[in-house]
Amino acid sequence: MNKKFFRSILLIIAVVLTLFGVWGFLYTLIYGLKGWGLTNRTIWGVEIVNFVFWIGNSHAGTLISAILYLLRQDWRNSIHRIAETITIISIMIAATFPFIHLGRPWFFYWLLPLPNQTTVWPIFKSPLVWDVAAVLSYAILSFLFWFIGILPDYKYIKINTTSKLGKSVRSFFSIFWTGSNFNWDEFKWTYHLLAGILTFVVISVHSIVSFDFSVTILPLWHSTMLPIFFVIGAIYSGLALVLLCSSVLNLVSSLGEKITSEARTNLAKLLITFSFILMYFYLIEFFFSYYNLNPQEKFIFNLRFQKEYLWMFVFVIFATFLFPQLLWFTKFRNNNSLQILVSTSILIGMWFERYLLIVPVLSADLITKETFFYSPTIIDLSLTFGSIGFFTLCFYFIGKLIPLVPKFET
Amino acid sequence: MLLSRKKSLLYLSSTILLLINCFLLINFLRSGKNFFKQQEVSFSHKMHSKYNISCLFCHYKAETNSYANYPSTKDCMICHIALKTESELLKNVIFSYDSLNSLSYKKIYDLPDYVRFNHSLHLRSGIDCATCHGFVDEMDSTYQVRNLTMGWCVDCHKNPHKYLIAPRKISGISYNLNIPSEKDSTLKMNSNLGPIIYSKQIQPATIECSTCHN
Amino acid sequence: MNRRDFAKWITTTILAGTSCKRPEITIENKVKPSHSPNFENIFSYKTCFPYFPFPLPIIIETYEGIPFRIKNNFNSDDIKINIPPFAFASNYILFDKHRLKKPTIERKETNLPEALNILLNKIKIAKEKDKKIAIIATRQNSIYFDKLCDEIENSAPFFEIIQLPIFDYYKSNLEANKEIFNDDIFLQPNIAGKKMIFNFGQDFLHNDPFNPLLIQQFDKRNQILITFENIISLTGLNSTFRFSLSESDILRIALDFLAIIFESKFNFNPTIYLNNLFLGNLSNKLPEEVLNLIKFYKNDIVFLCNPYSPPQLHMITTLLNYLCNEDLSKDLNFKYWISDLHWYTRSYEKLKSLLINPSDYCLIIFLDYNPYFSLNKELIEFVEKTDTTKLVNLSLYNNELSDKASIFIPLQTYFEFWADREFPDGTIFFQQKIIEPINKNSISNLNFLFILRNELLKKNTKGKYFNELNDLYLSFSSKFNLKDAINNRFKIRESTPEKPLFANVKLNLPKLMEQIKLTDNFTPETSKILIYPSQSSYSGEYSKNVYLFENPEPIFGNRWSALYPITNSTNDGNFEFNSDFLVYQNTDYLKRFFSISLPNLIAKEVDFSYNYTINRNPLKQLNQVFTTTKQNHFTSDTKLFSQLNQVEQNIQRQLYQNTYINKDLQWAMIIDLDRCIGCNHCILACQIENNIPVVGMEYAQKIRTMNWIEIIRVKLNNSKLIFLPILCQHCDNAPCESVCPVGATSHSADGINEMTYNQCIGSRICMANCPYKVRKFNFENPEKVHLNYIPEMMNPFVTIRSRGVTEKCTFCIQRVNLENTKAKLFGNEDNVVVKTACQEACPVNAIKFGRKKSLLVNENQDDLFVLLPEFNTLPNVFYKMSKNEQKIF
Repeated sequence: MNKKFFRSILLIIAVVLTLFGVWGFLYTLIYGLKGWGLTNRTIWGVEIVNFVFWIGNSHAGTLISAILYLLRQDWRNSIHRIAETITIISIMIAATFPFIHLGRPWFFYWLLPLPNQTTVWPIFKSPLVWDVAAVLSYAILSFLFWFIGILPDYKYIKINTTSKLGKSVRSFFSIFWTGSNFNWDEFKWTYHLLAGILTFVVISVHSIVSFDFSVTILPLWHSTMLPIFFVIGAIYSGLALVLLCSSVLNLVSSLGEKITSEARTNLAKLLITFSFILMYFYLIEFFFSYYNLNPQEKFIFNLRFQKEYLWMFVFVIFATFLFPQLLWFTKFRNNNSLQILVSTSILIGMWFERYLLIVPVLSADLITKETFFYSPTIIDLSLTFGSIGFFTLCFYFIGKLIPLVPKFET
Repeated sequence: MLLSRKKSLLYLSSTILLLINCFLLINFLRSGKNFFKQQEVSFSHKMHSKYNISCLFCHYKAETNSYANYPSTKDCMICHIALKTESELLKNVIFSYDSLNSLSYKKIYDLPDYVRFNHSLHLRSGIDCATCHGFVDEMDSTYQVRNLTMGWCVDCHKNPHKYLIAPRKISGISYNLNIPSEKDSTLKMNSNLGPIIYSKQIQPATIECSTCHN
Repeated sequence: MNRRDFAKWITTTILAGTSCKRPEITIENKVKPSHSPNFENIFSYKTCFPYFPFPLPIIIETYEGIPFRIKNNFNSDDIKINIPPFAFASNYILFDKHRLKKPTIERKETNLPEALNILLNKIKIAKEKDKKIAIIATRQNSIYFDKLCDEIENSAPFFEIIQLPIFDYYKSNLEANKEIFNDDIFLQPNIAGKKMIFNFGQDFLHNDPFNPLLIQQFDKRNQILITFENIISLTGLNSTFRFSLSESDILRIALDFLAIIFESKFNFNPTIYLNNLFLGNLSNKLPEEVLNLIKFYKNDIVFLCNPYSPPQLHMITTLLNYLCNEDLSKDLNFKYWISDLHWYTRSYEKLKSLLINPSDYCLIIFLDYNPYFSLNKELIEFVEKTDTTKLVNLSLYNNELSDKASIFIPLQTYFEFWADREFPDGTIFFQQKIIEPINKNSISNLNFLFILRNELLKKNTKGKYFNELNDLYLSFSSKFNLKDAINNRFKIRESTPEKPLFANVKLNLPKLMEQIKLTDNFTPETSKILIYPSQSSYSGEYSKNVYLFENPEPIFGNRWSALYPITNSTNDGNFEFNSDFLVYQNTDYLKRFFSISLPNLIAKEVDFSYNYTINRNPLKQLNQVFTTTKQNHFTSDTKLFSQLNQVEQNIQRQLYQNTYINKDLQWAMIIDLDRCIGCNHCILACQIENNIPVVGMEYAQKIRTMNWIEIIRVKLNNSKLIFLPILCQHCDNAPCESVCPVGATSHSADGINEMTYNQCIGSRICMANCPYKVRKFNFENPEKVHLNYIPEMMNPFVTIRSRGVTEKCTFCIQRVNLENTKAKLFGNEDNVVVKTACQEACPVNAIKFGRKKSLLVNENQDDLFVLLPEFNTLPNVFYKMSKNEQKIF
């Protein structure tokens, strides 16, 4: 009863947020970018932040399912499908942001190397083309990984099989899985192979997303540190999202009981580790900017100590480093509600961290040393919150459809 | 395993083919090759070219202007005031001449308006009309020969020898152009378009964006 | 529907619904001859812009019979004047949708002949009733206009034609000169070649009707300009020393100068007189360096004076100019005009009689004159009092008068009729009819007077005034031919009289001082509100021009504000005037401005010039929202520029070089910062030439303005201001090109960074990667939001950008292409000369454009800089500044 109540509340919020987001999405498609808070000075805003944020969130899925699988960490078994589901939904959401971010989104296919009548190909020097390739390949691979991972559980997929259509649909999507020994053999090496490939892809994809920034010549962005900084940040926020989802599942669904507490505590431990790695990068960033002789870089870095951004900076340090330190204590670490609290704070903190990385650099004028303050509008907010609502809804429906905790492994 | 290798290959190749076909279809739709429209006066280029009237006799503005004009009714009547005045086909022209109502032409070769094309510059470089318009002198009614896609323009600018046709007398290009005439250039017959120049003297043209787009 | 139509339908509705196209002209049923406009379609007309008192020689370029570009006519014999911004934005008015379409009588729409009939009937009735009729017309400087007026007045004595200037800058000067010369003389000193200029508040660089002459004589680099002013003006910003003083203080300073120069010239100290008259000697207010400068340049000084200031100041200025000239017998290098000023005093006498006995008049016709704009307070009061049935208004737009007047008839713009204009030195310019009147129900003011005269003299009305105009000029010169006259101006009067101006004047200083005392009516030490019209919008007919509103005001950098408050008030920066003129709250902005951009600013008075808007009486509704985009000025603490030879070293250090750039053909631009006065003319010219959208107030507040040039202000360490125009730098290593995913921006062989609008998908990574932030993004389709979207007036050579496309300065690629094509056709490829729009509009010739190779050879390499050299972008826009100033950087 209690769980059902929570669940319905969550669902209502998710539906409302999704509708809010859909409104913003349609407005953007129909009326263009005029509703956004962008100016001719700050031309990348919240949507790029969201893109980086959601791509980052997708990383933990692959980390847990692929890397931990290769490392034979058995505690991953109860949460790996949750993580993979998160990956797929996150990539889906992330990919929509660059799409509507285009001034003329109906020409998005010009980014793909397709034969056309103009004989103009995408410029392969451009990081955006790499971006498309990276995100697309990552999306396809992780979908395959998720899809193949479900195969042994295909009979638990909740499709009405009384009708002929339902039967054929299910058998089509199970790719005629029969559970024979031969099937299991093939399944194992495929899964192994994909895990191996994904281990590299997971590192490459966020590095390439970071190239959007580090390939430019702007101070603070033009840095070799960005790729690894991005990957670490991505895994950190992704882990937090997995922890959040599994803890919330524990709260709202009976499914949550099947998730072992060991898995959640291990996630919490990983969070502490990554919080320190991230802190190291914060310090390195500081060091880079001040050790550097380039006054422009110092100027841009100092922007975060300005009135508009200072509270954000303090919040980021608190939410992504100081607050997660509570997880050192076993009592807190195993506490479900505290897990939710900490992981939420990490996620919000990481969002603002991306905001701090992207917006101040663009809003500054390098010649006049002037800053043009950027403020998101209601449509920017609708897209941001809509993505959260959409994520929750998708997660709910996929959870309805397939067993989120693998049956064959537990 | 799950799918036989053959089957999976089939799936893969069919989807790729489908995608490619989609784009080819769009490209086909966007090009206007073989486009034809009935004009108000059914004018036959073939008929007129019999008498060795050069293209520039009627489309005289092509020589100096960016555009090649349609001849006005007055231009037609220069000859036809005396010639074949009772022909059925000339009825519209004579009516327009008498009543001062202009005839309306329907454009066959219609470039998008964001493309800058200069006829006189191309003529001065010794490019025969037929390179783009086909052998209009052999057509009864004009239709579009080339598909006028950007890819085609760019390809010709890069490798002109693939497309260029040796300047012919009927085109009326009278400049001293250092371009081999039909006689002394090595010629090869193209099944569609006739003789094509193979000469190193024709330099590739610029392919900057601003060459055609402002 | 055939296949191609179907394909077009698909591509236009679904795929390329917002592709960027050339402007589509929908005037009449003309067959468009070609899909590519080229130089052969351009027809240029020589004509003149009816700017008063200087008709400006201009060239109007038309495409398919429609004017699209207005340029300076530098080829005209000796008069080389840069045209002001409202002149080259004026073809906007021609197609403005707000122009009134039909005459109204008692607020009912009719057609033109009917309206004229009713008006003529009214005149008949007036004649029968034995009452007077007044025509209040804007002064036209047209001989034919004057002739018509004379004929009307002679034939019908009950007519009184009052010709008033749009701005009343004659009054003080005339009054002063009457005292000295006993004649109607208007004086304007010549500042060319003078070492030192003392300026008593004349804003000749921006806000003054004389700017076309003075702005060209001014040399910012070599002349020392010292300004005493009670406003903040562009001239003040550009002067070597600027003193913010009250009007009375300026007068005292002027008297002080008089004393100093008298003392040094004649060993005669007039301070006895001065001390009697005023509160004391103010010389201790001037810094010592200024006094030293005066002593040094004693004989090379010229004095200027604000035309709106009291006559006393004009007198003193004239005397000072007289005294500072070395040789008294010589001509004083003054520009002065005598003959055409008689109308002025006459008109004012008539106006007086009108104001005294309004009941004598039964009809008052306003011919293109709006007292609300010209701030003629007496006339405004008069109009408010009089019966509406008496008022007739002829104007281009609906204005305050047409609300009141019973008869309203729309006028024509200067494109639509023939007229003659006289330059003050006697040169005649002809104004051509460029286009058939777009509004068939409109009438030109000459034609109106012509019809009126014919009616009164009972002449045959069938003839056209054009023939009469022709005949009139045939009487001046038998060889006269209108076609020749358009090409070669001709003079009907000799230039300025040869006799020295001061020859007959016997100076009696004590007597003059007495006169100054007698006419003294100002009250010192009280704050006073001065209002005078801003020249940036000129007369009422240009006030609807959205280009002028979008263009940043040069002093504050604000856009879309109806008025510009100019000076600070007393209570801690809060603008709260004790009148109901203006309530101004946005103090942060002004504080910032005052603290940074103006040296020696002492704010006491509350003066402002205003920008006129239709139906907004400046005297009533001045509490407009003061909108502004952020002001671009800063104090430089880091080294902005590095020397060019350093940049060249960088080139050598580079890993690779762009091989596709042809160094012989490469284009480059040099901007001379020593000359730039920050007048923003280039911004406007660029906006008009390149079809840059005018985004309106709302977008301007959101910093979504699209101007390709932005001028920022740099305060040097010696508190000198320089103006730094920033445009696309056309870098050799352009950072935008390498990141564009679809190749929409690329480099041409002649070094231009090209932008292909239809290839752009709007990812905006080029904007992010541009360190100069010169790229702009189209947030909206032009036809929906942009206020200037009138296809007929758009430049047909430039694509109109659709929503979601990035744009930037193209070095006027349409002009470059045109010249290249010409060169290829006519075999002149080695010597291609291109003038960019900004270069043409620059009044001080600060911008140079040409092949990089030949351009840089002529310059001193040490004087050249590039912006942000540390990014190693290798820009092709060079900034020039003399080496002395560099050290201060």
